[in-house]
Amino acid sequence: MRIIKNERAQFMLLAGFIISIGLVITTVMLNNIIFEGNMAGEAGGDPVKYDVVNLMRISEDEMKSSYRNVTSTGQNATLKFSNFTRQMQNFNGNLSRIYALHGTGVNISWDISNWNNTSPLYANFTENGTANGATNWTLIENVKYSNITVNITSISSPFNISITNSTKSWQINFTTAPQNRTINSSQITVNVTWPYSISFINGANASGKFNITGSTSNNRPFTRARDHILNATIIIFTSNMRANITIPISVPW
Amino acid sequence: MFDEKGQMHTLEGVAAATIMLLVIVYAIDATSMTPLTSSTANVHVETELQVLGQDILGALDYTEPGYNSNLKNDVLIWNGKEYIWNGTKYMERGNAAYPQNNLSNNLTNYLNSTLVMQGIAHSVELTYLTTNGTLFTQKMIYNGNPSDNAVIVSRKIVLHNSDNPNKNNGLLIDIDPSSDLYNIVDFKLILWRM
Amino acid sequence: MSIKKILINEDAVSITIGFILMFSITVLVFSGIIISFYSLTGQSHETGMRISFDIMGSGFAARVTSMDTLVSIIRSHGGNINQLEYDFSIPASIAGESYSISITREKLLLDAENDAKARMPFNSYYYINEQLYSNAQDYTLSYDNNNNSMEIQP
Repeated sequence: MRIIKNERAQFMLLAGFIISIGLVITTVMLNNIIFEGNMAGEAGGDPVKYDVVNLMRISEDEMKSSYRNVTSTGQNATLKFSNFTRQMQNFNGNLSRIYALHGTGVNISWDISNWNNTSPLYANFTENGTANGATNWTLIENVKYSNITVNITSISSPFNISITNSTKSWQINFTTAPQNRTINSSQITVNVTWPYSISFINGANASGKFNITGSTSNNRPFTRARDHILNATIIIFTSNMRANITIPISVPW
Repeated sequence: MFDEKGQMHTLEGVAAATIMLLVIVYAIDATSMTPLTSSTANVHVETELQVLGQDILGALDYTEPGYNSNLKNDVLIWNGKEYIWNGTKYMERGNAAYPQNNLSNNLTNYLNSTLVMQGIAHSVELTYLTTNGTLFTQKMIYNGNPSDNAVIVSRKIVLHNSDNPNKNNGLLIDIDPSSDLYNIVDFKLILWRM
Repeated sequence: MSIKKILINEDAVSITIGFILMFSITVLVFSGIIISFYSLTGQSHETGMRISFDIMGSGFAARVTSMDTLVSIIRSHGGNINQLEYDFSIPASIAGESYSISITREKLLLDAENDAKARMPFNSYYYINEQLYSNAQDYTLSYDNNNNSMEIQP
């Protein structure tokens, strides 16, 4: 009876409970503060690479498309440079507006001196058109039929176009310049049966224009052509990133 | 001899001390399991979603010389209407009279086999330029408002007059009639985990 | 009379000894708890630091790798990088300790003063060899076209 009626400990136990609740609340708050102090900052991924590559690609595509437009057969040849500049300026202005939506500033400028010259400069037959690009490279594989037109303006040592299928390889040699040669589909199939691939060997030794059109084994038409190499300078900047890149662009394709 | 006065005193003291001890031990245990673990999950989820989104857009945006990418073709044939996911397909929103108006293009093929399979909610928005210098946004796929840890991945697509953009989408207009440039579209894919 | 008091006294212990016992037991228990509390927080400190290092280290490695990849893409196009810079900041201290990040082409090492270390798998194509200290918080990661290397400057 006395045990049940004895209330003396109740205050002490009550005090214990109150202290414990207060301690738990304090601990949870302290835990959050420690967590804040321990938290690592700025560990997110960064979209720098994707934005820059996307911008490079659409600038390239736009320059190629503008060049094709102003040099197509219905257009006034004397106005081609001003038309090209106008289209690129419109593109640059509109592009800046849409990039500003993401808080990014862009500016694209172009150098058409290789094209705009009284004696235009033609590109090497390397992969990216510059003198130190890959000199032996494959343009296209799995070709069913194709027509090749090559116009060589300068050559320092022999340059070949190699047509290869799984068993045989036929070389078309070029040793002199200037030279303008067309190899059509029937001439190729006499030597090499389809499907074949077309490669340039020692492309760094020669420069000029080329145009290859045709169809692949699954009847899909293709075009590979190069007249000049134009340079574009792309400037892109955000609050924490600045990039200024110059890339060579092969026109028209 | 059976008086319990002193024993109760001792018992009170011991009980109070034990309660405090248990509380402190629990509190120490609680600080060891910091919520740092949930924060790493947050950051990693965002990074994972961003990589997934960029991969999807990268695969859709692949171009060969002379051809349009799948993404550009989707934008060109889109009719400007908004679609929502109803569990099996993308249904036109607000037009219950025509339940067969579904969105079915390259984008939805990809989304069906990647995001929908993993239960990741997604929205698609397109922003384009207008003639008076402002930007205009339209939704292609709408799935509600995104949560806090949503990720946006975007690609810019340039449209030309020669691409014959869809005249059904009256808001996508030619901003430069004097040249071949038609419009520049910002294609945004918003991803978040439910 | 005092003997009688002793004989009929029903207290389990006398008042003074009772107080001494209660007091000393409480003090000993509480001090033991507090000492163990400190050593436990020390351990959770180190674990917390290691987890933070992992997060930060992988974010930093991803950033440097992204610039490395971008440079490779542009160079393979035949392009020229006139300027490529990226600003970032690292927290001044993690769990109250300052730390250092050391990065070379083959490894990325984070080191704190209380000996918590973390090492990230890392590999870059372009040359980089830098040491960062956490007290200077803002850094710029840039690509140097002349030396064909990446640099980090405060």
